[in-house]
Amino acid sequence: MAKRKHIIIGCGVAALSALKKIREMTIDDEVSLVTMDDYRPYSPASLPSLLSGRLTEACLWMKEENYFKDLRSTLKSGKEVTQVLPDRKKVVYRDGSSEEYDTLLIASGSEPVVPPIQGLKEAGVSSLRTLTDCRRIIQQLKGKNNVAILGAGMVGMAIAAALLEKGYRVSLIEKQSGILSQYFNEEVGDYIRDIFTDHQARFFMGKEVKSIKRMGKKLRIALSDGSSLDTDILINATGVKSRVSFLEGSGVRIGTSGILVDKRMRTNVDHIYVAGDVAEAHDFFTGKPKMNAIIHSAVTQGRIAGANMAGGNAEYEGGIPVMTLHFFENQGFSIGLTAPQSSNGQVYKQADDRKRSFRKLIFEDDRLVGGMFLNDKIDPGIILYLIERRTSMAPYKEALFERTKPLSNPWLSSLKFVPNYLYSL
Amino acid sequence: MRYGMVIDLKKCIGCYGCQIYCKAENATPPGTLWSRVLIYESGKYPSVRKIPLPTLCMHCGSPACVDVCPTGASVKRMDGIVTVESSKCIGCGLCITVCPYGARYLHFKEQEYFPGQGLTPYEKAGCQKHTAGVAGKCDFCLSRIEKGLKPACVQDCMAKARYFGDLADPDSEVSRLIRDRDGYQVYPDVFPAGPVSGTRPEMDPAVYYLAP
Repeated sequence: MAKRKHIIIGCGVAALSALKKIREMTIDDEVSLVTMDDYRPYSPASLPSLLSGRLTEACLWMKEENYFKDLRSTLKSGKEVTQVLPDRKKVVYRDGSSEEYDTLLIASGSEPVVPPIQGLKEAGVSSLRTLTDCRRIIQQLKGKNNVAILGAGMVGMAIAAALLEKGYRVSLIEKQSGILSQYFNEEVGDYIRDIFTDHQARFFMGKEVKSIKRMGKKLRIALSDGSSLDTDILINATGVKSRVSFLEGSGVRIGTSGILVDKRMRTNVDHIYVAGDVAEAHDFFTGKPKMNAIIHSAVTQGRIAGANMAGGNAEYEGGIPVMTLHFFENQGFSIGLTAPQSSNGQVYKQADDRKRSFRKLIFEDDRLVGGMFLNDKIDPGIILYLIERRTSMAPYKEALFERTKPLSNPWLSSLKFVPNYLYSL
Repeated sequence: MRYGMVIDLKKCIGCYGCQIYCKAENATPPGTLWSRVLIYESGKYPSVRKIPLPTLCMHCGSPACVDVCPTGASVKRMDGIVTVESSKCIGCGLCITVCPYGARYLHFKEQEYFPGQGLTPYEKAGCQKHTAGVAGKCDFCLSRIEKGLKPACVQDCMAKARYFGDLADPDSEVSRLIRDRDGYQVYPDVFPAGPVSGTRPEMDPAVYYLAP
């Protein structure tokens, strides 16, 4: 087999997953990771923990220093790709140099969406996506008391939890009527919001920001309903979009939110693969392209892309939304669908307003398609596994709802922990 | 060197001893079971059989929990053991969500065996290993292995159904047992049909079972 040269754009979780898979399959192929950052690989998901002080910068790095050397690969930092030339199988860097490849993996990730609000840039509003952002925000926070966060989604709520723990007064401004609406709906979204409110967070739901004006040391945020609030610092957390600007003119087809791929994580160009936040792969439940910018998807997609790049034959089953949220000693999980897609759906639900605990299982055609939990004893790994494997749960639905932890028979048999052929009864 | 375990289901009597010895050795908080015994029912009436299935962290060869960790707190050591570096763990819970064996635990509230009475000295001694907000799991009794002992669940099993050793050594007891008795691994997909692809993660557990 001729030795192939793979270039991976990016060094996040998707890129690392692909590298590991390629090396599991071949030691002869050459693998280079190129990143525009100057930092060692880290995940933006750990930045709120840096903000809260739970982590120090030294704890951010995902791999040991000699990891890439041990895997016979190279990591080139400070190398931003500005152009991809598929006809010549070449990438061009910002410094003018270029490099040829046999296969290319685009794992460039996502960047924050900055809403076009009047006065936003002048007010020095920062997003929290990179370590540079985080260091800047930590500096800006010194000596301040009030923080406003634009967006009450995954990132916004994580930042809010981190800052509330440090004693800041936090206000969240959210366009939708509910927080984390993609993952937690109904009562559980309200419970989460109530717990945050108990910890002195203020919520401005269903409102958009019209303008931001600096008034001396403060920022005045004017909302769509005519009201306004003053704050010391505003952090943007309105969402992310795929980082694809360098693909202009390359012919690689881009969808509504990311690079389009087939089930093998391949673009319309034969030798170019994609994995992670930058990919718009298909949804597990609908089969239609949908962005699913979470770590679990990035790792799985990286593995599939890496397997195919190394000459294997792997197919992606589709993205499943997964969200874990911990805040003030509370723990929430949302795995899969939040509501049934069809009228065949069956929902088992249990909510406790006083304890603020919640358990919901959604079945469709006797298959588990979603689970949502707050402050409940569950095995989220089993839930995800049952959804992914489309296990038929026909006789076991009630049993699963009653006891999701510890693992209990009778639905244990659905896990096939013991191969059937070993029992001749 | 790859540490691994073999559990002989022919000998296992389902006494739950391993579940308790692990707890005694590691002082795990209430509700946390690093070593668990599951009861598996098979067959149809009147030929029904109950088989006890001791499970624990499989210390997989290709652990999903290590791949998803955003800080690299979850690591696979050179000797095969998967551990969590508590200073790096942010308690995001992703590793808990991708482990198909339910081997990982994460709690946020301090838990006491005797609520309202504080921690007993024994709990206090053990709880250094179980920080709230940090993922925890079986570590093959690392502190015992370092002293040349076997993990508590292996040492104390009264049916002598558990074995521990080096899977990478073809002449070790565990390797010979796997070879001679057709030891199998507990995959979420046991013996997937067709060629191995990248779709189903091949976890490659380090814990093998011998048929009951």
